[in-house]
Amino acid sequence: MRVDLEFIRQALPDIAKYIPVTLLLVVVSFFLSFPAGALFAWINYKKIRGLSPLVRAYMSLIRGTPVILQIYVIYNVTPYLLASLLEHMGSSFNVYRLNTIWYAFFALSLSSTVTIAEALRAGMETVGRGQFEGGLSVGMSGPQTMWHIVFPQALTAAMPVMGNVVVELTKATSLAFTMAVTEITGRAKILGGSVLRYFEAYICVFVLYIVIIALLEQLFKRFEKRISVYRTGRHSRAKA
Amino acid sequence: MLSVRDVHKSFGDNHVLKGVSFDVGEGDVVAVLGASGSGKTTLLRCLEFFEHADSGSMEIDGLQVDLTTHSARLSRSIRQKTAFVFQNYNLFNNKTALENVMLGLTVARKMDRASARKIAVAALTKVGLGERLDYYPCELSGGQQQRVGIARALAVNPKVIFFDEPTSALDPELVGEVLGTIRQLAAEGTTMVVVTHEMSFARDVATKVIYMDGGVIVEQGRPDKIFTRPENERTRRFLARYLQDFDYNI
Ligand SMILES: Nc1ncnc2c1ncn2[C@@H]1O[C@H](COP(=O)(O)OP(=O)(O)OP(=O)(O)O)[C@@H](O)[C@H]1O
Ligand SMILES: [Mg+2]
Repeated sequence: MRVDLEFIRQALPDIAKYIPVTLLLVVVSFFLSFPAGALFAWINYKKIRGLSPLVRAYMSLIRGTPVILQIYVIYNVTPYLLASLLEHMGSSFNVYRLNTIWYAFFALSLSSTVTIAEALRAGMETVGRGQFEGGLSVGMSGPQTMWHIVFPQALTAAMPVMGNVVVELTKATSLAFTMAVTEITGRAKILGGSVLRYFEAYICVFVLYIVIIALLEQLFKRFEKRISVYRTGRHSRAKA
Repeated sequence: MLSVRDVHKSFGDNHVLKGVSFDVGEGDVVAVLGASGSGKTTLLRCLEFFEHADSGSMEIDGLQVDLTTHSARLSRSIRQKTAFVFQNYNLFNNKTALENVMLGLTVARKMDRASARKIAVAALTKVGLGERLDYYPCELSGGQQQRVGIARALAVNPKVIFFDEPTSALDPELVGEVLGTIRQLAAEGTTMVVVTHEMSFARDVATKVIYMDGGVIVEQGRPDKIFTRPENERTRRFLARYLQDFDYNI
Protein backbone atom coordinates (compact mmCIF):
# COMPACT_ATOMS: atom_id res chain seq x y z
CA MET A 1 0.00 0.00 0.00
CA ARG A 2 1.24 3.45 -0.85
CA VAL A 3 0.76 6.16 1.75
CA ASP A 4 -0.32 9.45 0.24
CA LEU A 5 1.86 11.92 2.13
CA GLU A 6 0.52 14.85 0.17
CA PHE A 7 -3.00 14.00 1.33
CA ILE A 8 -1.80 13.88 4.95
CA ARG A 9 -0.07 17.24 4.57
CA GLN A 10 -3.27 18.83 3.37
CA ALA A 11 -5.72 16.94 5.58
CA LEU A 12 -3.91 17.35 8.90
CA PRO A 13 -4.45 21.13 9.25
CA ASP A 14 -7.99 20.75 7.98
CA ILE A 15 -8.79 18.09 10.59
CA ALA A 16 -6.93 20.06 13.25
CA LYS A 17 -9.42 22.89 12.71
CA TYR A 18 -11.95 20.67 14.46
CA ILE A 19 -9.86 20.28 17.62
CA PRO A 20 -11.93 23.02 19.29
CA VAL A 21 -15.06 20.89 18.78
CA THR A 22 -13.35 17.89 20.33
CA LEU A 23 -12.14 20.00 23.26
CA LEU A 24 -15.53 21.59 23.67
CA LEU A 25 -17.06 18.12 23.93
CA VAL A 26 -14.47 17.12 26.54
CA VAL A 27 -14.73 20.27 28.62
CA VAL A 28 -18.50 20.63 28.64
CA SER A 29 -19.09 16.92 29.26
CA PHE A 30 -16.57 17.00 32.10
CA PHE A 31 -18.13 20.03 33.72
CA LEU A 32 -21.55 18.47 33.38
CA SER A 33 -20.46 15.20 34.92
CA PHE A 34 -18.39 16.70 37.73
CA PRO A 35 -21.18 18.33 39.76
CA ALA A 36 -23.49 15.42 39.02
CA GLY A 37 -20.77 12.97 40.10
CA ALA A 38 -20.06 14.99 43.23
CA LEU A 39 -23.75 15.02 44.11
CA PHE A 40 -24.02 11.25 43.59
CA ALA A 41 -20.85 10.71 45.62
CA TRP A 42 -22.31 12.74 48.46
CA ILE A 43 -25.61 10.86 48.31
CA ASN A 44 -23.81 7.52 48.45
CA TYR A 45 -21.36 8.67 51.12
CA LYS A 46 -24.20 9.91 53.33
CA LYS A 47 -26.26 6.84 52.35
CA ILE A 48 -29.24 9.15 52.02
CA ARG A 49 -32.36 7.06 52.37
CA GLY A 50 -34.46 6.78 49.25
CA LEU A 51 -31.89 8.46 47.00
CA SER A 52 -28.83 6.31 47.51
CA PRO A 53 -30.40 3.09 46.11
CA LEU A 54 -31.67 5.06 43.11
CA VAL A 55 -28.25 6.50 42.42
CA ARG A 56 -26.66 3.09 42.75
CA ALA A 57 -29.19 1.54 40.37
CA TYR A 58 -28.50 4.29 37.87
CA MET A 59 -24.77 3.76 38.24
CA SER A 60 -25.04 0.00 37.58
CA LEU A 61 -27.21 0.69 34.58
CA ILE A 62 -24.66 3.04 33.03
CA ARG A 63 -21.68 0.89 33.96
CA GLY A 64 -23.39 -2.19 32.54
CA THR A 65 -24.13 -0.84 29.07
CA PRO A 66 -21.83 0.06 26.17
CA VAL A 67 -21.38 3.77 25.50
CA ILE A 68 -22.49 3.38 21.91
CA LEU A 69 -25.81 2.00 23.11
CA GLN A 70 -26.22 4.89 25.54
CA ILE A 71 -25.58 7.26 22.68
CA TYR A 72 -28.16 5.51 20.56
CA VAL A 73 -30.76 5.82 23.29
CA ILE A 74 -29.98 9.44 24.09
CA TYR A 75 -29.80 10.48 20.46
CA ASN A 76 -32.87 8.66 19.20
CA VAL A 77 -35.16 8.35 22.16
CA THR A 78 -34.64 11.59 24.11
CA PRO A 79 -35.71 14.00 21.35
CA TYR A 80 -38.86 12.00 20.87
CA LEU A 81 -39.65 12.01 24.62
CA LEU A 82 -38.68 15.66 24.92
CA ALA A 83 -40.87 16.62 21.97
CA SER A 84 -43.93 14.88 23.36
CA LEU A 85 -43.28 16.33 26.80
CA LEU A 86 -42.99 19.85 25.43
CA GLU A 87 -46.05 19.38 23.32
CA HIS A 88 -47.90 18.16 26.36
CA MET A 89 -46.83 21.30 28.21
CA GLY A 90 -48.01 23.39 25.32
CA SER A 91 -44.56 24.67 24.39
CA SER A 92 -43.90 25.49 20.77
CA PHE A 93 -40.16 24.81 21.08
CA ASN A 94 -38.95 22.46 18.38
CA VAL A 95 -36.43 20.02 19.85
CA TYR A 96 -35.35 18.89 16.41
CA ARG A 97 -33.88 22.33 15.86
CA LEU A 98 -31.69 21.93 18.95
CA ASN A 99 -28.03 21.54 18.00
CA THR A 100 -27.21 17.84 18.26
CA ILE A 101 -24.05 18.68 20.19
CA TRP A 102 -26.29 18.98 23.26
CA TYR A 103 -27.15 15.32 22.97
CA ALA A 104 -23.45 14.58 22.60
CA PHE A 105 -22.59 16.48 25.81
CA PHE A 106 -25.28 14.63 27.63
CA ALA A 107 -24.49 11.18 26.27
CA LEU A 108 -20.76 11.53 26.84
CA SER A 109 -21.16 12.71 30.41
CA LEU A 110 -23.18 9.67 31.48
CA SER A 111 -20.32 7.30 32.10
CA SER A 112 -17.88 9.94 33.37
CA THR A 113 -20.47 10.93 35.96
CA VAL A 114 -20.45 7.38 37.25
CA THR A 115 -16.66 7.15 37.38
CA ILE A 116 -16.35 10.54 39.07
CA ALA A 117 -19.04 9.63 41.62
CA GLU A 118 -17.20 6.42 42.49
CA ALA A 119 -13.81 8.13 42.75
CA LEU A 120 -15.09 10.97 44.92
CA ARG A 121 -17.02 8.65 47.19
CA ALA A 122 -13.93 6.49 47.67
CA GLY A 123 -11.99 9.71 48.29
CA MET A 124 -14.48 10.78 50.96
CA GLU A 125 -14.10 7.42 52.70
CA THR A 126 -10.35 8.06 53.01
CA VAL A 127 -11.02 11.29 54.93
CA GLY A 128 -11.18 10.30 58.58
CA ARG A 129 -14.10 10.98 60.88
CA GLY A 130 -11.75 13.20 62.91
CA GLN A 131 -11.56 15.76 60.09
CA PHE A 132 -15.32 16.06 60.21
CA GLU A 133 -15.43 16.36 63.99
CA GLY A 134 -12.68 18.97 63.84
CA GLY A 135 -14.98 21.06 61.66
CA LEU A 136 -17.97 20.60 63.94
CA SER A 137 -15.86 21.44 66.99
CA VAL A 138 -15.15 24.97 65.74
CA GLY A 139 -18.84 25.52 65.11
CA MET A 140 -19.05 24.75 61.41
CA SER A 141 -22.14 22.96 60.14
CA GLY A 142 -21.97 19.51 58.57
CA PRO A 143 -22.34 20.84 55.01
CA GLN A 144 -19.72 23.56 55.65
CA THR A 145 -17.31 20.93 56.89
CA MET A 146 -18.02 18.74 53.88
CA TRP A 147 -17.39 21.64 51.54
CA HIS A 148 -14.24 23.12 53.10
CA ILE A 149 -12.57 20.05 54.57
CA VAL A 150 -13.85 16.70 53.37
CA PHE A 151 -14.55 17.44 49.74
CA PRO A 152 -11.19 19.08 48.87
CA GLN A 153 -9.36 16.14 50.40
CA ALA A 154 -11.61 13.67 48.58
CA LEU A 155 -10.91 15.50 45.34
CA THR A 156 -7.17 15.32 45.87
CA ALA A 157 -7.44 11.60 46.52
CA ALA A 158 -9.56 11.23 43.37
CA MET A 159 -7.26 13.24 41.09
CA PRO A 160 -5.56 10.28 39.39
CA VAL A 161 -9.00 8.95 38.45
CA MET A 162 -10.08 12.41 37.28
CA GLY A 163 -7.13 12.41 34.90
CA ASN A 164 -8.28 9.06 33.52
CA VAL A 165 -11.83 10.32 33.16
CA VAL A 166 -10.64 13.14 30.97
CA VAL A 167 -8.55 10.79 28.83
CA GLU A 168 -11.47 8.38 28.44
CA LEU A 169 -13.76 11.27 27.66
CA THR A 170 -11.40 12.55 24.98
CA LYS A 171 -11.37 9.17 23.32
CA ALA A 172 -15.12 8.84 23.64
CA THR A 173 -15.66 12.13 21.78
CA SER A 174 -14.76 10.19 18.64
CA LEU A 175 -18.25 8.68 18.93
CA ALA A 176 -19.87 12.09 18.65
CA PHE A 177 -19.99 11.85 14.87
CA THR A 178 -22.68 9.19 15.31
CA MET A 179 -24.74 12.07 16.64
CA ALA A 180 -24.01 14.24 13.60
CA VAL A 181 -21.40 16.29 15.47
CA THR A 182 -18.32 16.88 13.35
CA GLU A 183 -15.23 16.76 15.53
CA ILE A 184 -11.79 15.50 14.46
CA THR A 185 -12.78 11.89 13.84
CA GLY A 186 -15.88 12.96 11.98
CA ARG A 187 -13.89 15.38 9.85
CA ALA A 188 -11.29 12.71 9.08
CA LYS A 189 -14.04 10.34 8.00
CA ILE A 190 -15.50 12.95 5.68
CA LEU A 191 -12.13 13.91 4.16
CA GLY A 192 -10.97 10.33 3.84
CA GLY A 193 -14.28 9.24 2.40
CA SER A 194 -14.32 11.92 -0.27
CA VAL A 195 -11.18 10.56 -1.95
CA LEU A 196 -11.11 7.09 -0.39
CA ARG A 197 -8.00 7.84 1.64
CA TYR A 198 -9.28 6.50 4.98
CA PHE A 199 -5.94 5.14 6.09
CA GLU A 200 -4.16 8.50 5.77
CA ALA A 201 -7.07 10.33 7.35
CA TYR A 202 -6.98 8.00 10.34
CA ILE A 203 -3.23 8.48 10.73
CA CYS A 204 -3.96 12.18 11.09
CA VAL A 205 -6.56 11.76 13.86
CA PHE A 206 -4.37 9.16 15.52
CA VAL A 207 -1.60 11.71 15.87
CA LEU A 208 -3.98 14.44 16.99
CA TYR A 209 -5.48 12.27 19.75
CA ILE A 210 -2.07 11.36 21.07
CA VAL A 211 -1.06 15.01 21.22
CA ILE A 212 -4.33 16.23 22.75
CA ILE A 213 -4.33 13.52 25.38
CA ALA A 214 -0.70 14.08 26.28
CA LEU A 215 -1.39 17.79 26.75
CA LEU A 216 -4.49 17.19 28.84
CA GLU A 217 -2.58 14.75 31.02
CA GLN A 218 0.13 17.34 31.60
CA LEU A 219 -2.48 19.90 32.53
CA PHE A 220 -4.05 17.52 35.03
CA LYS A 221 -0.72 16.55 36.53
CA ARG A 222 0.00 20.20 37.19
CA PHE A 223 -3.38 20.83 38.71
CA GLU A 224 -3.04 17.71 40.85
CA LYS A 225 0.33 18.88 42.09
CA ARG A 226 -1.08 22.25 42.95
CA ILE A 227 -4.03 21.06 44.94
CA SER A 228 -2.06 18.39 46.77
CA VAL A 229 0.68 20.61 48.20
CA TYR A 230 -0.79 20.05 51.63
CA ARG A 231 0.22 16.40 51.46
CA THR A 232 3.90 17.05 51.04
CA GLY A 233 4.23 20.62 52.24
CA ARG A 234 6.06 23.57 50.75
CA HIS A 235 8.73 23.96 53.37
CA SER A 236 11.86 21.90 53.53
CA ARG A 237 11.29 19.61 56.49
CA ALA A 238 10.93 21.84 59.52
CA LYS A 239 9.93 19.06 61.83
CA ALA A 240 11.01 19.66 65.36
CA MET B 1 -21.29 28.38 84.05
CA LEU B 2 -21.44 24.74 82.88
CA SER B 3 -23.51 22.15 84.71
CA VAL B 4 -23.81 18.61 83.50
CA ARG B 5 -26.67 16.53 84.86
CA ASP B 6 -27.15 12.80 84.95
CA VAL B 7 -25.60 11.73 81.65
CA HIS B 8 -26.26 8.16 80.60
CA LYS B 9 -24.82 6.52 77.53
CA SER B 10 -24.70 2.92 76.34
CA PHE B 11 -23.12 1.34 73.31
CA GLY B 12 -25.31 -1.72 72.84
CA ASP B 13 -25.17 -3.66 76.12
CA ASN B 14 -22.17 -1.68 77.29
CA HIS B 15 -23.48 0.86 79.77
CA VAL B 16 -20.58 3.32 79.58
CA LEU B 17 -21.91 6.39 81.42
CA LYS B 18 -24.20 5.69 84.36
CA GLY B 19 -25.38 9.08 85.48
CA VAL B 20 -22.59 11.63 85.45
CA SER B 21 -23.15 15.08 86.97
CA PHE B 22 -20.69 17.88 87.67
CA ASP B 23 -20.35 21.64 87.64
CA VAL B 24 -17.71 23.88 86.16
CA GLY B 25 -17.38 27.46 87.27
CA GLU B 26 -15.98 30.31 85.24
CA GLY B 27 -12.19 30.09 85.15
CA ASP B 28 -12.19 26.54 86.49
CA VAL B 29 -9.74 23.98 85.20
CA VAL B 30 -11.33 20.61 85.76
CA ALA B 31 -9.06 17.59 85.41
CA VAL B 32 -10.91 14.36 84.65
CA LEU B 33 -8.98 11.28 85.75
CA GLY B 34 -9.83 7.64 85.45
CA ALA B 35 -8.65 4.28 84.23
CA SER B 36 -8.83 3.37 80.57
CA GLY B 37 -12.39 2.51 79.57
CA SER B 38 -13.99 4.42 82.43
CA GLY B 39 -15.91 6.60 79.96
CA LYS B 40 -13.96 9.88 80.01
CA THR B 41 -13.80 10.30 76.25
CA THR B 42 -17.43 9.28 75.87
CA LEU B 43 -18.43 11.91 78.42
CA LEU B 44 -16.66 14.72 76.55
CA ARG B 45 -18.02 13.48 73.24
CA CYS B 46 -21.57 13.61 74.60
CA LEU B 47 -21.01 17.19 75.77
CA GLU B 48 -19.79 18.15 72.28
CA PHE B 49 -22.71 16.27 70.62
CA PHE B 50 -20.37 13.88 68.84
CA GLU B 51 -22.42 11.15 70.51
CA HIS B 52 -26.08 11.28 71.40
CA ALA B 53 -26.47 10.66 75.12
CA ASP B 54 -29.29 8.32 76.14
CA SER B 55 -30.33 10.83 78.77
CA GLY B 56 -28.90 13.84 80.52
CA SER B 57 -28.77 17.57 80.18
CA MET B 58 -26.32 20.41 80.29
CA GLU B 59 -26.61 24.03 81.17
CA ILE B 60 -24.10 26.30 79.53
CA ASP B 61 -23.94 30.05 79.60
CA GLY B 62 -27.49 30.20 80.92
CA LEU B 63 -28.84 27.87 78.24
CA GLN B 64 -30.44 24.55 79.09
CA VAL B 65 -29.96 21.73 76.55
CA ASP B 66 -30.99 18.15 76.34
CA LEU B 67 -27.93 16.02 75.55
CA THR B 68 -30.05 13.48 73.69
CA THR B 69 -30.95 15.97 70.97
CA HIS B 70 -30.62 14.94 67.35
CA SER B 71 -31.13 18.46 66.11
CA ALA B 72 -28.14 19.51 64.02
CA ARG B 73 -29.00 23.14 64.48
CA LEU B 74 -29.24 22.97 68.27
CA SER B 75 -26.01 20.94 68.54
CA ARG B 76 -24.26 23.48 66.39
CA SER B 77 -25.48 26.46 68.37
CA ILE B 78 -24.17 24.86 71.57
CA ARG B 79 -20.90 23.85 69.90
CA GLN B 80 -20.40 27.49 69.03
CA LYS B 81 -20.01 28.11 72.77
CA THR B 82 -17.49 25.33 73.30
CA ALA B 83 -14.31 24.09 71.67
CA PHE B 84 -12.61 20.73 71.58
CA VAL B 85 -8.95 19.72 71.56
CA PHE B 86 -8.52 16.17 70.32
CA GLN B 87 -6.13 13.46 71.37
CA ASN B 88 -4.87 13.12 67.80
CA TYR B 89 -5.20 16.84 66.97
CA ASN B 90 -7.62 16.46 64.04
CA LEU B 91 -6.26 19.54 62.33
CA PHE B 92 -7.66 20.14 58.86
CA ASN B 93 -5.03 18.42 56.72
CA ASN B 94 -5.72 20.54 53.67
CA LYS B 95 -5.38 23.86 55.47
CA THR B 96 -2.38 25.77 56.76
CA ALA B 97 -1.97 26.52 60.46
CA LEU B 98 -3.43 29.98 59.92
CA GLU B 99 -6.40 28.68 57.90
CA ASN B 100 -7.01 25.99 60.51
CA VAL B 101 -7.48 28.69 63.10
CA MET B 102 -9.38 31.12 60.84
CA LEU B 103 -12.03 28.72 59.57
CA GLY B 104 -14.02 28.70 62.81
CA LEU B 105 -14.28 32.47 62.44
CA THR B 106 -14.72 33.07 58.72
CA VAL B 107 -16.89 30.07 57.89
CA ALA B 108 -18.62 29.17 61.13
CA ARG B 109 -19.14 32.73 62.36
CA LYS B 110 -19.08 34.66 59.08
CA MET B 111 -16.42 37.05 60.34
CA ASP B 112 -14.61 39.11 57.70
CA ARG B 113 -11.21 37.75 56.72
CA ALA B 114 -9.15 40.67 57.99
CA SER B 115 -10.53 40.54 61.54
CA ALA B 116 -10.38 36.75 61.55
CA ARG B 117 -6.78 36.83 60.45
CA LYS B 118 -5.87 39.22 63.22
CA ILE B 119 -7.44 36.96 65.84
CA ALA B 120 -5.89 33.83 64.33
CA VAL B 121 -2.42 35.33 64.22
CA ALA B 122 -2.76 36.41 67.83
CA ALA B 123 -3.89 32.93 68.89
CA LEU B 124 -1.03 31.24 67.02
CA THR B 125 1.46 33.70 68.44
CA LYS B 126 0.19 32.97 71.92
CA VAL B 127 0.89 29.24 71.50
CA GLY B 128 4.33 30.07 70.13
CA LEU B 129 3.62 29.41 66.45
CA GLY B 130 3.62 32.93 65.08
CA GLU B 131 6.38 31.86 62.69
CA ARG B 132 4.51 28.85 61.32
CA LEU B 133 1.39 30.49 59.92
CA ASP B 134 1.65 29.04 56.44
CA TYR B 135 2.75 25.55 57.43
CA TYR B 136 0.51 22.61 56.69
CA PRO B 137 -0.13 20.08 59.48
CA CYS B 138 2.13 17.54 57.73
CA GLU B 139 5.00 20.01 58.13
CA LEU B 140 4.54 20.38 61.87
CA SER B 141 5.67 18.18 64.75
CA GLY B 142 3.03 16.55 66.95
CA GLY B 143 3.56 19.16 69.65
CA GLN B 144 3.22 21.98 67.15
CA GLN B 145 0.10 20.41 65.67
CA GLN B 146 -1.48 20.14 69.08
CA ARG B 147 -0.63 23.77 69.79
CA VAL B 148 -2.36 24.74 66.53
CA GLY B 149 -5.28 22.67 67.81
CA ILE B 150 -5.29 24.73 70.98
CA ALA B 151 -5.05 27.99 69.02
CA ARG B 152 -7.95 26.84 66.84
CA ALA B 153 -10.01 26.24 69.98
CA LEU B 154 -8.98 29.54 71.58
CA ALA B 155 -9.70 31.67 68.53
CA VAL B 156 -13.45 31.12 68.64
CA ASN B 157 -13.52 32.56 72.16
CA PRO B 158 -15.41 29.62 73.71
CA LYS B 159 -17.00 29.55 77.16
CA VAL B 160 -15.23 26.29 77.83
CA ILE B 161 -12.61 24.17 76.06
CA PHE B 162 -12.77 20.39 76.30
CA PHE B 163 -9.45 18.56 76.06
CA ASP B 164 -9.36 14.80 75.50
CA GLU B 165 -5.91 13.58 76.55
CA PRO B 166 -4.17 16.37 74.65
CA THR B 167 -0.69 14.98 75.22
CA SER B 168 -1.09 11.24 75.08
CA ALA B 169 -0.34 10.94 71.35
CA LEU B 170 2.88 12.92 71.74
CA ASP B 171 6.46 11.79 72.07
CA PRO B 172 7.52 12.33 75.68
CA GLU B 173 9.86 15.20 74.82
CA LEU B 174 6.97 17.14 73.23
CA VAL B 175 4.53 16.78 76.13
CA GLY B 176 6.04 19.70 78.02
CA GLU B 177 5.43 22.34 75.37
CA VAL B 178 1.74 21.44 75.12
CA LEU B 179 1.20 21.23 78.87
CA GLY B 180 3.02 24.54 79.19
CA THR B 181 0.57 26.11 76.77
CA ILE B 182 -2.42 24.75 78.69
CA ARG B 183 -0.91 25.99 81.96
CA GLN B 184 -0.60 29.43 80.44
CA LEU B 185 -4.28 29.39 79.45
CA ALA B 186 -5.19 28.27 82.95
CA ALA B 187 -3.27 31.19 84.39
CA GLU B 188 -5.24 33.53 82.14
CA GLY B 189 -8.50 32.18 83.47
CA THR B 190 -9.63 30.06 80.51
CA THR B 191 -12.35 27.62 81.54
CA MET B 192 -11.30 24.09 80.66
CA VAL B 193 -12.25 20.47 81.18
CA VAL B 194 -9.18 18.32 80.63
CA VAL B 195 -9.19 14.54 80.46
CA THR B 196 -5.64 13.58 81.30
CA HIS B 197 -3.29 10.95 82.63
CA GLU B 198 -0.73 13.61 83.58
CA MET B 199 -1.01 13.51 87.35
CA SER B 200 1.39 16.34 88.06
CA PHE B 201 -0.55 18.56 85.68
CA ALA B 202 -3.82 17.68 87.41
CA ARG B 203 -2.33 18.29 90.83
CA ASP B 204 -0.67 21.59 90.03
CA VAL B 205 -2.96 23.23 87.50
CA ALA B 206 -6.49 21.97 88.10
CA THR B 207 -8.90 23.84 90.35
CA LYS B 208 -11.01 20.72 90.56
CA VAL B 209 -10.34 17.04 90.01
CA ILE B 210 -12.90 14.45 88.98
CA TYR B 211 -12.13 10.78 89.32
CA MET B 212 -14.24 8.46 87.16
CA ASP B 213 -14.55 4.72 87.33
CA GLY B 214 -17.04 2.37 85.70
CA GLY B 215 -19.09 5.17 84.18
CA VAL B 216 -19.66 7.17 87.36
CA ILE B 217 -17.84 9.96 89.16
CA VAL B 218 -16.42 8.25 92.20
CA GLU B 219 -14.97 11.32 93.77
CA GLN B 220 -14.52 14.98 92.97
CA GLY B 221 -12.98 17.91 94.76
CA ARG B 222 -10.04 20.21 95.08
CA PRO B 223 -6.79 18.66 93.89
CA ASP B 224 -4.99 18.99 97.22
CA LYS B 225 -7.80 17.08 98.87
CA ILE B 226 -8.09 14.39 96.19
CA PHE B 227 -4.36 13.85 95.95
CA THR B 228 -3.57 13.85 99.66
CA ARG B 229 -6.75 12.60 101.34
CA PRO B 230 -8.88 10.67 98.84
CA GLU B 231 -12.01 9.39 100.53
CA ASN B 232 -12.83 6.54 98.23
CA GLU B 233 -10.91 3.30 98.19
CA ARG B 234 -10.96 3.13 94.37
CA THR B 235 -9.54 6.64 94.05
CA ARG B 236 -6.82 5.76 96.53
CA ARG B 237 -5.80 2.67 94.59
CA PHE B 238 -5.83 4.51 91.25
CA LEU B 239 -3.72 7.36 92.59
CA ALA B 240 -1.33 5.04 94.36
CA ARG B 241 -0.62 3.32 91.07
CA TYR B 242 -0.11 6.55 89.16
CA LEU B 243 1.72 8.49 91.80
CA GLN B 244 4.14 5.63 92.16
CA ASP B 245 5.04 5.98 88.48
CA PHE B 246 5.08 9.70 88.95
CA ASP B 247 7.50 9.50 91.85
CA TYR B 248 9.84 7.35 89.80
CA ASN B 249 9.89 10.09 87.22
CA ILE B 250 11.32 12.66 89.63
N1 LIG C 1 -18.22 4.33 69.34
C1 LIG C 1 -18.22 3.34 70.25
N2 LIG C 1 -18.88 2.19 69.99
C2 LIG C 1 -18.91 1.19 70.91
N3 LIG C 1 -18.31 1.25 72.10
C3 LIG C 1 -17.62 2.35 72.40
C4 LIG C 1 -17.55 3.45 71.50
N4 LIG C 1 -16.80 4.43 72.07
C5 LIG C 1 -16.42 3.96 73.28
N5 LIG C 1 -16.92 2.71 73.49
C6 LIG C 1 -16.74 1.93 74.71
O1 LIG C 1 -17.04 2.74 75.81
C7 LIG C 1 -16.18 2.47 76.90
C8 LIG C 1 -15.54 3.76 77.40
O2 LIG C 1 -14.70 4.27 76.40
P1 LIG C 1 -14.01 5.68 76.52
O3 LIG C 1 -13.24 5.88 75.27
O4 LIG C 1 -14.99 6.70 76.90
O5 LIG C 1 -13.00 5.45 77.73
P2 LIG C 1 -11.85 6.38 78.26
O6 LIG C 1 -12.11 6.58 79.71
O7 LIG C 1 -11.75 7.59 77.42
O8 LIG C 1 -10.57 5.48 78.09
P3 LIG C 1 -9.07 5.88 77.68
O9 LIG C 1 -8.40 6.36 78.93
O10 LIG C 1 -8.49 4.60 77.20
O11 LIG C 1 -9.16 6.92 76.62
C9 LIG C 1 -15.18 1.43 76.42
O12 LIG C 1 -15.61 0.18 76.88
C10 LIG C 1 -15.32 1.50 74.92
O13 LIG C 1 -15.07 0.24 74.36
MG1 LIG D 1 -10.29 8.37 76.09
